[in-house]
Amino acid sequence: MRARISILSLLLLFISTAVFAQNVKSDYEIQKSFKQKYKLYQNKLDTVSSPDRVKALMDSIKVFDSNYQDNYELLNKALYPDTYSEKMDELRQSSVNTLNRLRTIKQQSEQMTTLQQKLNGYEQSLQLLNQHADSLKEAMNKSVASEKHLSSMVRKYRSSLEKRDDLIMAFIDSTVVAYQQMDINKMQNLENVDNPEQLKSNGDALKMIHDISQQNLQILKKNSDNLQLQDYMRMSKVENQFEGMWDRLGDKITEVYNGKNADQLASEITKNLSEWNQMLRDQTLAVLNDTLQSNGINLKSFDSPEGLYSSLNTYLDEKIKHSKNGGSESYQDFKRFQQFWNKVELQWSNNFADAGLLTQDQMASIDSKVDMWAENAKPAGSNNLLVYLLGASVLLAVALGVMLIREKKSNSKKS
Amino acid sequence: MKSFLTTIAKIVLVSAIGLAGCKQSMVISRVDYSQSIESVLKPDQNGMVEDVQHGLKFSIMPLQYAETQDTSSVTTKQIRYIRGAEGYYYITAPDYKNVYVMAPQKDRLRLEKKIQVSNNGVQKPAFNQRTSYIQLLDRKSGESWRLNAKGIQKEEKQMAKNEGK
Repeated sequence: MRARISILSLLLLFISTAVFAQNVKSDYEIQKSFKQKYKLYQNKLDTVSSPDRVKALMDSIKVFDSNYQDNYELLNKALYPDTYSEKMDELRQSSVNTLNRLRTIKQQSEQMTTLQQKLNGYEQSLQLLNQHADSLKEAMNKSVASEKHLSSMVRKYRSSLEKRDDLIMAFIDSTVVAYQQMDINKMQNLENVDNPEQLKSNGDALKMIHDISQQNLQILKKNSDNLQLQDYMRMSKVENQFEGMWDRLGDKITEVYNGKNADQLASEITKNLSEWNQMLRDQTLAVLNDTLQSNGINLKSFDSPEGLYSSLNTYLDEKIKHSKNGGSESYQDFKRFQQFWNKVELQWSNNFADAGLLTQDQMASIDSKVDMWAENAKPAGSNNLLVYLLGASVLLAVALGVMLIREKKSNSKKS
Repeated sequence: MKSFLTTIAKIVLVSAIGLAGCKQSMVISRVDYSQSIESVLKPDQNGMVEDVQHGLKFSIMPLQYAETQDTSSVTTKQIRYIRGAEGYYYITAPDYKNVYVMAPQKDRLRLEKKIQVSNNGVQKPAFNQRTSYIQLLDRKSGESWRLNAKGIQKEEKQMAKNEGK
């Protein structure tokens, strides 16, 4: 029994000595372990991926601080020229910054998910509209025989394209808002440390922009016969917005895209947009020619924006000169041109400018000539009225003269 | 003759005072050389250690010879030193039996005192700077000693624990 107690006592003594020995740390070890742990916290704060984990780290940093508080004098010397409290403040500030950064990333990630859902919705709607437009186009081809039916189909087709353009504008708005608020650097950080599969899904934006630019090009190529000036004006607005969005956010959208062919898609989009722009301008000029002719406005034919401006100037100069000389048909021509020009000014001035057809200065110059024409183009009816008034005055004078002569004659008979 | 001797004596006295005044150098007293935290250095294949932070470079081979009587190769894996308030360097290494108190001199360190700590050697030594002495710890056994240029005194364990914090 005694022997057992002695062994037990020796064992306890050995354990307590070992435990005590383990607790002994030199100043060198204390400062070294502080520096190592500090660096570890810094690394963790750099790579942590969720706000919850940052909060846990913040709690751990509090314990770390309290563990080393007793050694702050030693650590002040070891950390010179920094101090212990400065280093701890730095770590705490870094943890707060990380928490804010991750919160922002989380919000952006949620925004990306919402955007993805929206994109999916747009894509489906666009597909439906494309199918609808294709079937209408097919029906139109079959209905060539019946003019009335064909015109109804063309109307429906144009309306379908209008809805498609509205949808693209809505898509542009959503994309612009979502990508403008996005901080790509932060998104890349998230990609490095958190769930990259969430990011992969948003790559559809680039693909969708690519598809829209390609489809728009096809629509322009295939439908030049069925579209009217107002369709082109609307398309010009869409093109302008689309191109603006691409110029501002193209790099960002390409960067976020996770597919392998991002650069290829991006360069194809740029090429499509350039082609779309040129084709839209050419077709708009052609339709403008036709529209002016069909409205009885006989401008010299043009095939470029410069040609359009020159034709308008020549036409107006001639008309103003003619109206000054009192040309009989001048007023009717003026009314027709004014109707067209009012529409350009009130509805399409931005489209004309955006499409590069006429600049704002050129439009102002045309406008002043239209005003000048208005001053000289007097309605034919106003001249006739003067003639009638003059005639009536002469007749009245003659009648009065006759009456006076008769009066004189009757007076002389009586006397 | 007497006046001649008096004149000579005056000249010698004035010259002595003048020369003494010229040779007088400035002295700054109460300098504290203490190094806050010990330096832990690894010798290279030639036994040289360099402390970039404190600007010190020397060979450990004389110390190794003093401990092991062997300089055929570098057997010391690590050297630990700290400078005390009075300017002496306290140097030792794992498994060394002694602490070497070295006085800095022009391009050399001179042995001021060799302090024997243990017959078996200190397995995991470490120096701590304390207010009036250097503390030597054996992190393996938990033993501790107070050192100065004159000698060594073993510390009670609880005292060492409190001071080690």
